[in-house]
Amino acid sequence: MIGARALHVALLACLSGAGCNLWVTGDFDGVPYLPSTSVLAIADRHDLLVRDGAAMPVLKNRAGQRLHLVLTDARVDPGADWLRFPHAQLLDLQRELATRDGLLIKGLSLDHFGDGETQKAVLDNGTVTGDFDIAVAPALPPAGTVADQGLGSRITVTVVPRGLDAQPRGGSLGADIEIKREREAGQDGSVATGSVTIALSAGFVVERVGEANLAVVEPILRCIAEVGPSSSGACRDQSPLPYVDSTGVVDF
Amino acid sequence: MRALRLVLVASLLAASLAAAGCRFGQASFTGALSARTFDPGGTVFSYVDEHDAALLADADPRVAVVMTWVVFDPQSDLSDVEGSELSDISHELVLRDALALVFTSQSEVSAGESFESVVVGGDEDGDGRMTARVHLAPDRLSSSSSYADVVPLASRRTTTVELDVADFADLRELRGSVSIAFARTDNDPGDAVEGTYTGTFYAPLVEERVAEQNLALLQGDDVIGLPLAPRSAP
Repeated sequence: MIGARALHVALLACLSGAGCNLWVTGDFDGVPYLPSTSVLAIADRHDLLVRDGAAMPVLKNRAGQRLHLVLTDARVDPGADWLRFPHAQLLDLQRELATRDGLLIKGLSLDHFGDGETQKAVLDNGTVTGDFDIAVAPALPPAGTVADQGLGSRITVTVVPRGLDAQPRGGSLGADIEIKREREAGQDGSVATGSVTIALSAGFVVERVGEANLAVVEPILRCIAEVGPSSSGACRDQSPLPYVDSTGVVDF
Repeated sequence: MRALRLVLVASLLAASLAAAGCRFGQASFTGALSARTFDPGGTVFSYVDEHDAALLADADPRVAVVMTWVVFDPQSDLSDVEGSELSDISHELVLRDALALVFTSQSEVSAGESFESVVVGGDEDGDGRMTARVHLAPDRLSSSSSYADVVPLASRRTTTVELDVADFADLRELRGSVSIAFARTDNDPGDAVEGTYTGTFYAPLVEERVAEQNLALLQGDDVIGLPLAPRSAP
């Protein structure tokens, strides 16, 4: 019987700044992981410095420019200014983000990505090492697919670039992202392991909008990664991170 | 009879609409920084910070004036409104223009008096008789927003207040004029925007307990520094 152990394969049209497509293959021993409905892709090329209360934008040098990716199964509009939503709508969005599969990849080198270099990050024993930061946020899986001994908690995320066109007001990227779960030292031998590979092509969200929205979603995904899927709903009330605006630091 | 009922329904509808959008107090400002205007005229009120955290009376209390774009009734206890409405108001408070003025000594708050607050680099640098907290609405972002559009604002902010009316007994109101000047310092970039907002305000006095309770419920401390911490607090 193939059943729950079958590979999940899905070609999905998703929401991003300028349209996107995802091709998802694999699962974690039958536990699906599909952060595949919306993509927030940000080419982080500027810093906003606050000096004496005045904010001013500064273009980073090539080595300092970064790429951030948020993939989520929540249906959201990545190009809208989420913090400007009526509060009830923002709360709905936060709940969706907190109860769906999500993946945060933060701080990829844009320069290396453009050069086609593979970048990798490893979460082991609660610590992320490698080329970028990650938060892997699984939703509560269907009861029938929950592995008896839980999920392997050593996670390796590998990003293989397939194309980049970063423009001041848009552009697009393509990449293959592999999320590999393994048994961590000290975990039971029967934890769910395996690999999910996401072939992604997506448009960039305008940098200012993307970074403001990242301030909303990042604390939620980090919270889920920390507390696990069984308590992920509690992460909906994570306050947005402060972000810099021309008026100064905006703190909710 | 039918016509009478229609008139009655129309009157009730008009009354309820008026109540729903009714502003409290008044403030209007002119001037612009680049294209940015300043409108904290939705709700304007004042209160006397007469009691500390232990409810001991202050012999010469501070006086606060609150102005925000958000419309709510500062005289009614917001702990009675639904949680979703409260969170809406609190959320909008962050997203909209607001201004808080705090006069250090009620005995100095009288008609004809002038006060000045100077904030440099985010720190108050005036004579201490009044402090001002200017909260400008964050930028509204869209698909055309870029960092190239961000123009820094001059960082020296001087707020001047002249009081025309300060009556804590009969009229129970403060009236006056305000100017908020943004000026470049040596540390600001050459293109930092300078300019001045000028305006007038009418701030009815609200009972201290209700005002402080409401500001605490709205988490006003993060936005306009109110309610005030006790004087003895560090």
